[in-house]
Parts: sequence; C-alpha cells; structure tokens
Amino acid sequence: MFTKILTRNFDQPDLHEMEVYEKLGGYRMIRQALRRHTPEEIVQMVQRSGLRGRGGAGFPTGIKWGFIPRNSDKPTYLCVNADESEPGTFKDRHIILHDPHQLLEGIMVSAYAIQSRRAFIYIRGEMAREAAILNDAIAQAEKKNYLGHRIFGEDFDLQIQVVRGAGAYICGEETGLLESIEGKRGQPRTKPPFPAVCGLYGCPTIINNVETLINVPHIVANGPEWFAAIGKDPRNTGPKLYGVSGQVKRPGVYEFDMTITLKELIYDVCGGLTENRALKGVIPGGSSVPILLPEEIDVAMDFDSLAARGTMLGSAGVVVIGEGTCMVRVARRVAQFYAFESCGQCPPCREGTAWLHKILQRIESGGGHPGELDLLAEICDNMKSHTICPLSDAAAMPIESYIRKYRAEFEEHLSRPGCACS
Amino acid sequence: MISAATKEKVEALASAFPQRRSGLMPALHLIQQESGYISPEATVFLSQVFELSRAQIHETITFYHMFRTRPAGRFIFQVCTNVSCMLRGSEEIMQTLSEILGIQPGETTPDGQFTLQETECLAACGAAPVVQLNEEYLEHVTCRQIRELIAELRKES
Repeated sequence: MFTKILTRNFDQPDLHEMEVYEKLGGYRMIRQALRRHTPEEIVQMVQRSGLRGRGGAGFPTGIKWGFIPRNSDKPTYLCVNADESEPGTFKDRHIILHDPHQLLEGIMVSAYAIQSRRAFIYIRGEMAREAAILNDAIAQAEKKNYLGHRIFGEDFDLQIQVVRGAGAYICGEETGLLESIEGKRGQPRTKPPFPAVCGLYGCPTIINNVETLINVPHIVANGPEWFAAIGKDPRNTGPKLYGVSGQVKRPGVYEFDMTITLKELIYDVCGGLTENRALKGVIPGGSSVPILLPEEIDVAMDFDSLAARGTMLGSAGVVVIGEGTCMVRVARRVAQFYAFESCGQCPPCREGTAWLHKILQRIESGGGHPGELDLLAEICDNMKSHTICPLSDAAAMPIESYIRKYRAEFEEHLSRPGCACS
Repeated sequence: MISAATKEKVEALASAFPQRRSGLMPALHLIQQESGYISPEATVFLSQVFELSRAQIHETITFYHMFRTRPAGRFIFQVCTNVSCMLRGSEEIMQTLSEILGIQPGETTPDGQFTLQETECLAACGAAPVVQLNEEYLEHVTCRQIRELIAELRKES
C-alpha cells in the first residue's frame, strides 16, 4: 500500500500560509540539511536515492548536480523549471497552488547542495495567480529569515526570485529557459557546453523541474535507502505525480509509486471512461510521446516499462481518448500545437512542423491526396535528430504513432471527405 | 502613457538581476498590465532603461505570444483547444463564444470590449474545458456558464 508523500497535506486548508506549513512539519528538513549535512553529502544522498528528473527526460538528478565544476570562481545558479506547458500536464501548477512552501523548501535544500546562493523560479506567464502565490510565500520566508542572509541562522545565504515567462512552450526546454531569464528570445542553445558548466549568464547552472525538487527534502530527511525502496524497480524510485485528463470520470493529479499500471490509473483510480465508452487510445506522458492502444495499457507507469512499449513517461500527463474521437483530428490538433510553438531556428523543425499541420488539416477536411500518409511519415523521419533541441522529435513522434496505429482511419479520411467517427 | 509609478518600477527592475536585460520580461509584463499593450513609446522608454536598441526590445516582444503591440479588448477570452480540452468540448465553447460575441477567434468586438482567442494548453487539464478570462482561469466551463458570464460582463461595460 502506497502512502502519499509529496501531496499528503494538499487538502489542508491555508497550506500556503507559513504557520500552517510549519505546524505540519515544514521547514524542519532544511534545518536538518543545513545543520547535519555537508553539501557533498546531500548530492551523494540524491545520487544514491535514484531520483530521476520529473520534467520529462528522466535524467538522474544527483548525476546532473555532480556536473557542477568544483572550485569555479563564478557563482552557481539554480533555475526551477515551472514553465509547465506540455499539453496534458498539470502537476507542477497543482503543487504551486496547494503547497508553495514545499517547493521553497525543496529549492533551499537543493540550492545548499549545489552551493547556489541565487535561485530563479521560471513560471509560465499565463500563471499569474500561481506567480503571486509564490511571491507571497517568498515574502513570508524572507520575513522569518528563511531566505536572505544566513538563513535559519546558518552559514548559507539564499535569494529566490520568480521570473514570469510570456507564452512560449520552448522556454520549458532548459536552455530556452535560460535565454528567457536573460530577457532574450527563448531559442535553445547548442550543447555542449552544458548548463552545469556554462548556463545562466555563462555561469554554472542547474535546471530542475518543480516536482523533482520537492522530492529532495524527503530524501535528506528519510535517507536515500528509504527513497530507493519506494517502488519495485531500482531504476524507477520514489513517489510520482500523474495528471490524468481527457475522457475519464475522475480526472486529476494523483500520487503513487511507479509500480501502478496505466490500466489501474484509468479504471481504478479515475473510475474508467465517461459515459462508460470504450477506450480508443492513451497518451501516457504529455502530447510529445507516442500513443498506446487499449491492448497496450497493462504497463507500469515508469520510465523504463513505457520505453519498452515504444513510448515515454515524459511529464506523466496521461490523456485518455475514448471511442468516437477522430484520430485525424487529434493528430491535426497536436501538429497545430508544435507548428505554433516551434521557435523557428532549425529548418527541419520550422518547416516540418508547419507541413505536418498543413497536410493533416487538409486530410481532416477531406482534401487529402493519396500517398500523403507516406509523405507524413517521411517528413517525420526527416525531423528527428536533426535539430538543436528535442521539439522537432517531440512533434514527429506522436504523429508517426497515430498514423501507424490508426492507419485505416487516416486512409478512410483520404478516400472520402468527412469523418465517419463523429 | 506609462505612469510615473510604473516607470519607477521598471527602472528598479534594471538592477534587480545579475544582468540588466533580465529585467526586460518583468518590465514588459508591468507595462502591458497598465496599458494593455506595448506601445512604440514604451519600446523607446525600455530601450533607454535597459541600454538596448529598439530592435532588441522588439525581438523579445515578438517572440512571446502573450505580449501585444496593439490594444486588445477589455475582456480577453482565451479558449484552450488543445487535446485534453478538445476531448471535453472546447470546440463547442469556442463556437458559443464566437456566436454570442459575433467575432472569430483572433478578433476584437468593434466596441473594443471583447477579444476572443484560441490558446494552447494552460496546465489545468484536469479541469477541462478551460478558458482564461484576462488573468483568471475558468475551469469545467459550460456553454450555459459562458452565456451568463457574457450577459453579466455586458451589463458592466
């Protein structure tokens, strides 16, 4: 039986108030970290815990932290990625709305570990209310000297600033995010150099997702072995938030260990599909990942089991699609998103996303030409691994999977105008 | 016109970060909040404060979907039509808004009161369909709710 860790207090009223958070044990873990552990110890604890980044790529957090050069004469920055924009993903906003102090505590412990005295929370521009909640929490923390000079009376200074984006999916890509904090167009940078060496303002920088960071204090408080024992698989440890949306009876954010299957999430946790319709397909990790058919959903919701099924855990945004939905329309809408959000600097992405959208629009409206499904597949193939950042791959992978798995439906759209599904 | 208070805040932003230019995005938000859009006059002001050319200010403005260089309506409806919302009826919501307001997505009513826009995922998919009205999120939106809301806003305006 899994007991909630990250979201355990989310139904407590006024949790965004410092007194409530502290009464429930808040800001004890940062004190413990500052008093009992060296920064290196915390980095090692996070490495041993097996924590993998919750933003989408699943890169081991402790290993990322280990890339920070020792004895650099430049300051180190921690950037918190709260630019949650992957369609179907809504867990980080949920964390900020309910429990902003837990995020601040996660930032404090992590900043101490990587010896960063300045952290930035980069939050989506659309989330004005959430930015205000964070700014309020920061002000509360500054008042009690939990932020600022010598926090908690210990030998560590920390300042946290909230920076709002302004509507650009690409700024969720870590180097696009850095450009945006620098006040520029959010176009991703070529790597190497990696941000850990040359990031914000050319200084060593770590970029971590909101959900990733809130795990860190728990690892320090309970030990890496405790964390590594959550779940069955040593490569997929710790608690995980899943955002389930689309045609289910009880959509929402749910916390489990990564042994839960996609089938259990949909039918046991979310009560099955609305109007008891049959399942047609599921996007398991945000709109960038390949779709799964109903017969493929008996799979653990972890990084490696989903990879073995040819898809990805991604941001764990599960989108449930029922019978009666036109897959050509889904494909067109997904393509529209990437065409709109491509930053335009790499031709395979700029041209590829635009053509995918145009052709799918044509097929949806009944004006498609024979052979265009193969053309779409060819475009997708040319978009992958040819660009600076993964947006191009993220646009091609789902479209490829829709055409492969629902080919008959696409062909029907080509053979006659109109849609038989709706 | 940028008020003296906003000018002061913008000037403070120029020294709030390790590098001057980082204050530009927050400054653009402040100005847009006050004036509804970023005017040519504001661009000149920003180029002076941040010691950048007008072209540099403009390249930042035009990269981000939220920044406007022209005024929009007093009430801006942004309907998420991405997959999770589409599966929950966002197309009907968009159609209802379009019919009641008598404008297409991307347009503003002639009286300057309402702007209608299609928007991308707002990270509130569990509450789909979602509409953003100015800065506020409207969740689990129904067509009926939209009709009532517009009637209310029309009375107000």
